[in-house]
Amino acid sequence: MADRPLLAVEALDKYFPLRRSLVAGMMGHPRRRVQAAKEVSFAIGKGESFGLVGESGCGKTTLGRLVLGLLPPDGGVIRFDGQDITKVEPTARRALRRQMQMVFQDPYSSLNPRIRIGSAIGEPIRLHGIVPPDEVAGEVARLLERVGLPASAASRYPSELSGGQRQRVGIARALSVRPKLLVADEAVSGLDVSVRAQVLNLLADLRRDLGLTLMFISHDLGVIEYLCETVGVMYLGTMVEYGPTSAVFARPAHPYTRALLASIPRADPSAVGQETPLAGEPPSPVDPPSGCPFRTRCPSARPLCETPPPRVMLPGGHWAVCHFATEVVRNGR
Amino acid sequence: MRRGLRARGSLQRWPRNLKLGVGLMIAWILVAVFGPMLLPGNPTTMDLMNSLHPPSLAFPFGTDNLGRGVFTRVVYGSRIDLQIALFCVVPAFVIGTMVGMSAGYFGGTTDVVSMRLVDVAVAFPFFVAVIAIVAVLGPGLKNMYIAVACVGWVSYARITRAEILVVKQTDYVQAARLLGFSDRRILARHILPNVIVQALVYATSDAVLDIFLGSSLGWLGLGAQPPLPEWGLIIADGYSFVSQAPWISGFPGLAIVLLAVSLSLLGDGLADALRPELGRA
Repeated sequence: MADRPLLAVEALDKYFPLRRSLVAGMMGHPRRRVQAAKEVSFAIGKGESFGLVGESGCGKTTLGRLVLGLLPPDGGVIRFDGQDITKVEPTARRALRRQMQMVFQDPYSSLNPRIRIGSAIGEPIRLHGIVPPDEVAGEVARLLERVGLPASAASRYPSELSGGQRQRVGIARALSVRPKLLVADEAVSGLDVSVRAQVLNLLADLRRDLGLTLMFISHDLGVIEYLCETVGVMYLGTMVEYGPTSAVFARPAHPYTRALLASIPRADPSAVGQETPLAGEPPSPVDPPSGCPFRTRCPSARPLCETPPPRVMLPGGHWAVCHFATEVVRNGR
Repeated sequence: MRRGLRARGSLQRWPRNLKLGVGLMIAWILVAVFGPMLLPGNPTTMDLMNSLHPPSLAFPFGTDNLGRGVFTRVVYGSRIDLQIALFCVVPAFVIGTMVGMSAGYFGGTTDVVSMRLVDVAVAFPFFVAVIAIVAVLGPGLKNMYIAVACVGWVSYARITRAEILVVKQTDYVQAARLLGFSDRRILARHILPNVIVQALVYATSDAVLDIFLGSSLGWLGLGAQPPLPEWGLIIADGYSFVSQAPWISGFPGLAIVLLAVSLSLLGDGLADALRPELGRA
């Protein structure tokens, strides 16, 4: 069972019902809902680094929260270490939760302004009995140094730290309970460019040294290419392409992925104008297009796209949900 | 960085209005506790020979129509008016923050039920509601406290609920949840300290309102009963003599203003000091 993935998500659904007016309710109008995740499936192996990419509003943050159990799914299965976490007892869930932690986007709202850094990191250690009570302070100092902060930072309040330092504290807090899976939701998007690289390198080091499994959610393809071995592309709550980062970046099989890749600014004047950039806004997730969700913006949409597209398997564990995936790959760059 | 570390607990770094407010409130408490012991006179003993005496060395605030020293009465009255502030605010504060906290944190039915209750209580103007309840229960300070507790909690419930709704969504509360902390721990340690400040600041201005309320009810004959030297009552007593002996109503009025200013300074100072992002700029 060595190959069993740490996290396996199968056919996960999540809808957010919209408020409807009292009158509409009495008239029997159906309740409208936002499709945040529809039949999403993917797996992350132990020690793997998985990147989730997509435009804002495509449901990537929701997917992260579903995986962490912060939101209940409307359907599907989430298996963590072989156990279906959507169906565990609340007491068992607490133990499970400890194994999955999150690094947040906003380093300013992710730390309680009234709690010193030392207790923010020490409280979970004490509560879960990670180390004997008299060693908590030492463990906090060790964690702080591990994320590149002086041990003296323990006595500071968050308001005394910079954004990058706070993000390091957020990482140390997440590591305090020794999780197996770390979900980083746009963890570097709120940081200055100079600090961003440092924090990215820290995450990469931690993953290597601690054998962490990483789920990295970002809209930034460059960051994902740097950090992740596998990548999943989300569009309107569905995962349209999945595969090893090298394969997806070199041979994108979904027109949406191609358009995303084309939108990366490149320092190569000869590359200009080879690919049509993505036009328009994504359609409303309340009322997604029938068939292929991307067909309203797809440069190569055809009548067949009005029917639900199949998942087309490509070599090397790479797949795309497009009628013409093999064609897209063949005509690629 | 280092400067911020010394901020907590160091008196020197307190905002000026907080220092002033705390100082004045300590002075008021000293007056209320020790003042009556130090004064030779009695606030209720009449001395008709000395009635309507203007301020002098013997009677610093003059005497009223029954010859009672206004200074003595005002000092004794501080006990009653501070008690009014305390007994009106504390029950309303405790009930209100608890209701607001559970409504905001747990949401759902708890929220709907308690907020409809709030709506009902808010539908009546505060003073009218209190006067109506006191009129039913009968005049007196105890019944006034009951009436204020019945009506006053709603503001605290609303403030606390609104704050909780904001704080509940913050990433640090989500993080606490992910770290496996219990609801009780999250509420008490991670949410409460961040929401209580608003309620606390409101409490100081609410105390001012309650003192005005106590004085108004005293004046109307519904609150403290004569011969209690409650400030509102003293003002009411001096009302008929205001052109002959303005000191009877003037000095207790000044006392009310001064206590109100002290409480306001305390509230402002607390607001500055307890908001971490503002307090240590």
